[in-house]
Amino acid sequence: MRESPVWAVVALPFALALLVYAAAALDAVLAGGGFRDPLYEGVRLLVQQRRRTLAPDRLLTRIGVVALPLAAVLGAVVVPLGGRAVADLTVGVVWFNAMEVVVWGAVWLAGWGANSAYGLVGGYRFVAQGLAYELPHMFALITAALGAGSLRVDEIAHAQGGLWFAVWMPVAFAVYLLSAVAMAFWGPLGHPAGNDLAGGAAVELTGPDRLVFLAGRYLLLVVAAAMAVPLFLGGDGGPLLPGWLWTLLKTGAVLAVLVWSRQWLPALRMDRFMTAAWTVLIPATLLQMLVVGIVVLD
Amino acid sequence: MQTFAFWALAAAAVGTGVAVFAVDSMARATFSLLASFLCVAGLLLLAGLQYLGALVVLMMVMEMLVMAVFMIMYMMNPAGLMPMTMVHNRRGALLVSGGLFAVMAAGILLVRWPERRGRPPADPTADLGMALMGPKMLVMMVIGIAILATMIASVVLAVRGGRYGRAEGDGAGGDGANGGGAG
Amino acid sequence: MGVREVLARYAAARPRPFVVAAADGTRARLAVEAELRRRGWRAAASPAETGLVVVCGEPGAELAEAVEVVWRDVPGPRARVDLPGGTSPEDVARALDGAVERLADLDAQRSDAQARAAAGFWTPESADEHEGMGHGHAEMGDEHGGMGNGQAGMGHGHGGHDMGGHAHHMGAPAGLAMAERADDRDGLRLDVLHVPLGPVLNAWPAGLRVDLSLQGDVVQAADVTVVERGGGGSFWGGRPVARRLDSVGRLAEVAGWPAAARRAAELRDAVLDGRSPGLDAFARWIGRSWALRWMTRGVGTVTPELAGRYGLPEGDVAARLDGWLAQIDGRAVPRDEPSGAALAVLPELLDGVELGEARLIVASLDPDLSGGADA
Repeated sequence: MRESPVWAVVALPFALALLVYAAAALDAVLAGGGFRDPLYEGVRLLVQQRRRTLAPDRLLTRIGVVALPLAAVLGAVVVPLGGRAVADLTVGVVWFNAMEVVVWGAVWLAGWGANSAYGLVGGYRFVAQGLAYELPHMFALITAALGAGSLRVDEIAHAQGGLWFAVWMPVAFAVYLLSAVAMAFWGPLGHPAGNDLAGGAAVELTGPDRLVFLAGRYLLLVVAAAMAVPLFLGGDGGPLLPGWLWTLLKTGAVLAVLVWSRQWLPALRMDRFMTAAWTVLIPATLLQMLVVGIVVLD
Repeated sequence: MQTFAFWALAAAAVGTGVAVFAVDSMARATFSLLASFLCVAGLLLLAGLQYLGALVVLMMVMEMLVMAVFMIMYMMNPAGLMPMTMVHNRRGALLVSGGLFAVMAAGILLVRWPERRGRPPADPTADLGMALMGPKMLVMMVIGIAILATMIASVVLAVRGGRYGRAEGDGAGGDGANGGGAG
Repeated sequence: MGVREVLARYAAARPRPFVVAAADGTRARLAVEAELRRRGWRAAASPAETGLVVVCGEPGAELAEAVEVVWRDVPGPRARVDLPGGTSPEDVARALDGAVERLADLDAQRSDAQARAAAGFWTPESADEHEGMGHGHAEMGDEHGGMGNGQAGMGHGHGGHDMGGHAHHMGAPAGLAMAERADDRDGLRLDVLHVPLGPVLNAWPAGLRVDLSLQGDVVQAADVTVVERGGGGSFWGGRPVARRLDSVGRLAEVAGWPAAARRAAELRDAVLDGRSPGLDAFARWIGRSWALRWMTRGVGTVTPELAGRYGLPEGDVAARLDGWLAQIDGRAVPRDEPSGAALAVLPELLDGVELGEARLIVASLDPDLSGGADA
């Protein structure tokens, strides 16, 4: 691990908070509301009483609710969002992957713990979704690492001096974006928290619990978008502007696309998507990896 | 600081491990086991083995979640919320685990551990990869892909009718095993 | 004190209303949806999410009871608005303004919470020890989030009495009975959950209840009940295009496509106002969505045999959606379809599908119960 300057530690929470608010506000505006809606909604949930269901497992529900933003923040420490990563691990990519898998547990617990049939089904759905997106997602991550010959996020970013990985690994980039919305169970891959289940895994969350859970989901979306920048979009590289600003701008652009995807597509159900993920996406990412491997060996 | 973290994580790992048998719910047992593994992952990270640590987190969360799904499938309801004891055959289990513990503890105390020579490498991950795979990298990669392809193909063949058994529209039937079982 | 009031006012400024429609409440529901759109308020999908319950129309006895169960579970601060069938848009706006006032009224909310805690129907998190007070029926309502009618959640029947607290071991938690079990399609013996869909549920046809027996998320059996019908003629009589837009909007909502649902609602209201802007473009937009087609193809297929038996057109959810879109953009003659056949075929279509598919199938048949019994 390399030592990071103190300002990277200070900058990260600010950058995350800013982007989370921007994502929530953009979603509200796209849905016909105003850009101050997340603020109103946040206060509303803060002052709302909690309600209880019959025979819940409150401890596990709380653990699930809190684990969601926690996993996102822990994943964010390897992302150079404020210019430099807070902890530039030698295996940053694997760490990010591991933290994102913690979300499986978080969502499942939150859905299961309320003892509600809808929440339970929502929890199931997320595990099924995880099994569908995880392998293509891993292959996409490894492809970027292979291109740079390193698992360190910083080195991957700086291996793209000439050409962004997004340009010559388009399949891996597309799969990464898809899995970014999948890990945040957002928009087209938001079936675990779908409207057909009246909110799915989050159906019984009230008050501060719901606030933390929803904020955690936006946080995941932000971290996933921020990770796309060093992996595929050349990190902080760019003309004229300072590096940190480029990082922020690129992250914002990816984030906007992810948030907007909710307007673009209906929810993809896993009983259909699973087949496509395993028979199309996995071979496609493997082929992409083969191509990248050959180029790198050359 | 490191020493403190080590002991805290070690104690938490043992404590959550004990909790697996002390709690009265399947889900809590599953997730205390997971917590125990996560503490072990923390210990690995503390030892500078970042790759192994991250991998343990990754694998264990997935594993426990798949286990939880099966638990929900097979256990009597309400969906694992039913209190039940986590130990069966208490005496036999105690005997076996006590014996096992004694053997392993004896092993730790009796084995002559080698002295450290040299320094830890700058990038243990790369060294680990070389040590594990080294010259056989190509073979391992090919085998890995082959296993994956086999897995996917067998799953696709086994559930030809789709997960819900009726994706090809075999119409309304009973609720028996008339779906993918024939595949 | 000042801070609290400011916060309460802030929190009340953008409620997330949970809209419940009775069979005769279509007109009021449309007025409410239009008003919410005008104000930029987003509707809640579940009672847990909301603080404001809006009841459209005059519910019959059973629906009223279901609404009561939902209302009992709505976390405070809360307000309820009842809008009878013939409500004007001005009435709706006034009622919602009044609700905002009540939501921000700290004293009233506090006494409401105290009254509820004292009554024991609903126990706030802090008042833990009230568990097992014996209001069995109310507890059941808690359990499945008031999504149904408070009768059977998770398959335990009417439990909830004589709960012994946490002392149970190897016994039933909170006095709940064990689920019954049945064979699933792979020959495993798995639990069966009884989950009612409706009559109080988001994006759900008013007045309908479907009792599902679920194994996991797969429907093993479905029982369709008409909870209530509006008296007299259907609201949609003579407004087939608007009705189809309403149906498409509900289907889009269930399919997880809120943007399409919002657009459908806008167009529906425009058509009811006598305008028809951009119907072709809308039909093209929805019709061309490969993802929606992918997710609806082969779901809820009415086979030739079923079609003959019930007098319905053949086809799956995608085909029914295409039929609606053709009526919307004028490629086909708009027509009123009787809902009796849809109700009759539902149990057979729902057998063996996933819960999400079940919602799509119901939305794609969209039985209209706002009129009296039809042929």
